[in-house]
Amino acid sequence: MNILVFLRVVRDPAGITVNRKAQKVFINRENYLLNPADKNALEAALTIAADHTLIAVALGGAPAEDALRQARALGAHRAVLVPETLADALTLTTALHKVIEHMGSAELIVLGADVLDADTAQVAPRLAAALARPLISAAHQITLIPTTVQGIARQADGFHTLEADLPAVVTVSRDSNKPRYANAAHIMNMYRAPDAIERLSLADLGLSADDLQPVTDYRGDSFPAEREFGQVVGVGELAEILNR
Amino acid sequence: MDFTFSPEHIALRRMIREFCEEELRPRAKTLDREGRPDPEVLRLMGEAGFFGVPFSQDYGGMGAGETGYCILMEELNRVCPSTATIIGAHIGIAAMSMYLDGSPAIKQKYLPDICAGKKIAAFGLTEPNAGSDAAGIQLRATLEGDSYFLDGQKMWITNGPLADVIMVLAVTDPALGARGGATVFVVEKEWSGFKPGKPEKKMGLHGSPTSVLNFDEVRVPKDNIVGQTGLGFVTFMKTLDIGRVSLGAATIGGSQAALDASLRWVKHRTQFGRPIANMQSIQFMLADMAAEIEALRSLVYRTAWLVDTGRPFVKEAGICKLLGSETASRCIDRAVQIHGALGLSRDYHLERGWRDARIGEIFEGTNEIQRIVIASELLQEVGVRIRP
Repeated sequence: MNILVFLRVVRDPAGITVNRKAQKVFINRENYLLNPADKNALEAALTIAADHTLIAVALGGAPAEDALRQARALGAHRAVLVPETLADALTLTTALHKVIEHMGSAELIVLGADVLDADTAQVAPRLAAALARPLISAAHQITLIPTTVQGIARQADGFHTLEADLPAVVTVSRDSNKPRYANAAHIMNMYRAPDAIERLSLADLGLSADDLQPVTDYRGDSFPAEREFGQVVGVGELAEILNR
Repeated sequence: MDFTFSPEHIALRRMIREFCEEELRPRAKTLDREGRPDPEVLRLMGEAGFFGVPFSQDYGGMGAGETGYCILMEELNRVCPSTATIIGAHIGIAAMSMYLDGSPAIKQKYLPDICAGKKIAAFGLTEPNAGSDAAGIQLRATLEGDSYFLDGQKMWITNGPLADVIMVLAVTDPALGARGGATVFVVEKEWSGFKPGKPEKKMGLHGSPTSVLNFDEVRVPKDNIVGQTGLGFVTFMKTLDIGRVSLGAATIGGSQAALDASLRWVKHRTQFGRPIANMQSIQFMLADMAAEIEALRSLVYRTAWLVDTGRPFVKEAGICKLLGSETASRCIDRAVQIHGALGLSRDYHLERGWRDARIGEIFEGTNEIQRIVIASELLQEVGVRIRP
């Protein structure tokens, strides 16, 4: 069966400085990273992918292609790039939905549970809803049991083992596993192979620009006030304050 | 001119850097203190393909060329010079000598395991009486039937106590000596009569074991000759020529680590009421470090490009090693100076960096030998032949 992992790239936070006084975000270096939770999602998928086809999917430009080549070097069997930059959770879901339809089947869809930049946490639930599939959120570990997927996920009262019938959507928590290192030879080969990445245009997906009109719009940046330090008090003083 | 790294080399560096930060940095201090390598880190490096980075995939290598290998050495030496030295001896000289001149059969036999890190390799050239004068080797190989018997001693051999396979230069014809009478043999550690000595106690590189190797009537089948009988000295000298490029790359890592540590420190250390970053005396040291590192980086990766594109590189390689080792020593010394007493503390990493850097001016041809190599190349260009 097909296991699909959706990868997103985010700006490297080390290349950004925030100046609250000037109310400005400065981009010091144009550097992109594979979203950390997506690395964990890919690792979780790789551990169960042995007898299946693992397909990495990304939308965007050169950084997205780079993420897909990383995924191939790590062991993804196929990689699909849609060379479109979409920022909004709804349009992203629409495009992803079409990619899945185009693929024919994707019994298990795996995503990172959070994204370093916008972190709307909407894509996975929207996608599950659009596909009318069950969703397991923030799993720490996933296991395939022939027709179901099992995820151990943290909830308010502790860890729960959740089970969903396939086809399903699962999100994987950041830092829930230790991503493997790609073998150096695989890196050389996957970055050199012209056919390591398959490309799907909007036309291939049966989409037009009108289908991808964002529903959110950007109105500017706001900077919450810096948190002030509390005061350090002794035990006696603390008791006095509390008794006031 | 195009000075950009290829996407695959950028991705390779990213993987190696992540590995070094996650796996190597937390262990580097312990390796130095305990004075031995960590088998777990070597195993993980084997899985990631570190042991065969420059070699062709036909022999189990990673196909990343000299440029890829320089990236590996730079990144390893930025974090743990001991581990970089294990890899440097394994790939840069030991496996390289087989890769350059070995027959396809011997390469098929040994290189896949060497590239996978299943077998660690060592390069046996130096002897008690043959250091800079490498042609003065005495370890004797005597032919009896279809085998040679090796007798003698090698000294200061990096990876000596670790190595599974050892490339050994031995005298097969004493009348000719090194010039036509020395041959490279591959010796396996299990063979009777071979015995590595105890790890030497050194000033630096504590995590990279160095020892003597004793050969007492070690029988080596003729098939285990690398290259042609009698031409082993040429093989080893060619190997050292190419090895100097990656040694230069390693020194970029050491120098950069010194600069990075200094930049972090000067922002926070306050004296005379302001961060020492504001002092011109400190700024000058930072600027000198940055200038030397930038020049070195350009030199080393250009030389790697010369190697990868099949151009002559011997003079440039000598310059990489000479300039690199001296740059690293100067940069780390400046970093110690900037850090004051903290630079000398054994709880901080600069003291280790300072001890680890010094060997750069000595091993794989002292810097005096490098000057001779560079001068002989220069003079050859104007028609004067000198023999070092």
